[in-house]
Amino acid sequence: MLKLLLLLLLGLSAVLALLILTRPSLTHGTGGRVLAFVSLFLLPAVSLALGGLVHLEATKSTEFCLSCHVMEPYGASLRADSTDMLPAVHFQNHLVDREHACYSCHTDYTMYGDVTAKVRGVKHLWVNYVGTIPAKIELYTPYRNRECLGCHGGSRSFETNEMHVDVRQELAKEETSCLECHDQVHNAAEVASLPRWGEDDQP
Amino acid sequence: MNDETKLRRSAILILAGLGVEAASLLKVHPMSFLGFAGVGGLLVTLGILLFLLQLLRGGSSAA
Repeated sequence: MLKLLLLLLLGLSAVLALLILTRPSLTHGTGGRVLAFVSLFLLPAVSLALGGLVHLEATKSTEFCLSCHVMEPYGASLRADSTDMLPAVHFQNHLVDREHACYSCHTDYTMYGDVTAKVRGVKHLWVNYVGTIPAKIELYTPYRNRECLGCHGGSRSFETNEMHVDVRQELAKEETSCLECHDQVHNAAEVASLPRWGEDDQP
Repeated sequence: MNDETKLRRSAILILAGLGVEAASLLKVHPMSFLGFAGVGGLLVTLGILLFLLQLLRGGSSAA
């Protein structure tokens, strides 16, 4: 919807800017001045702001994250035929929105993190196209429980699980990592050898 | 450079920027984002700034 609105706005802005380009004499009168202001300031500025919003929203999409070749194994892990791997379980059972699968669990990454995270995002692009991609990709900081507890915290299945009762406070304080027990995550090195689930409907 | 030429210059920059912005919407990719912000955004901003500068300087046809 937002994208459609932006396309309409871009089209309108372009037509008006083209009008000024081909017939600048139109701007001589008062109405023409208003036309120039709308065509060369107001509409382009709104288009720019709306475009930024559309692009920013797009960076949350699974398609965006998996558009780099290096992310392919991580995308494949969403489709791994496994009932143990966290990304596969969450993705295949609709525990996360499939269109925003990566962002659902990595909410503080690149564009949506602090300034350091944003700089790292630009660095990722540089490394992807110009530099050397490391053989093993790792998170910069240990994975935070808040990403899990954002959904699971307070839920009945989490709170009443016997395994969680004793460590609930530690988990909340990030003293114990969820991944200490739930350690089957992306497994990028092995995921290529695993069979896939739902190949016809790739993310 | 007369006022009409200045207006045309702004319009050309803005048109080019809008074109890049539209093209950047074709694909969801980090390079699209960079193209939008780094090229399209820059061209549109330059066009707007030139127009506003012309207004501030009291361009007769625009202001």
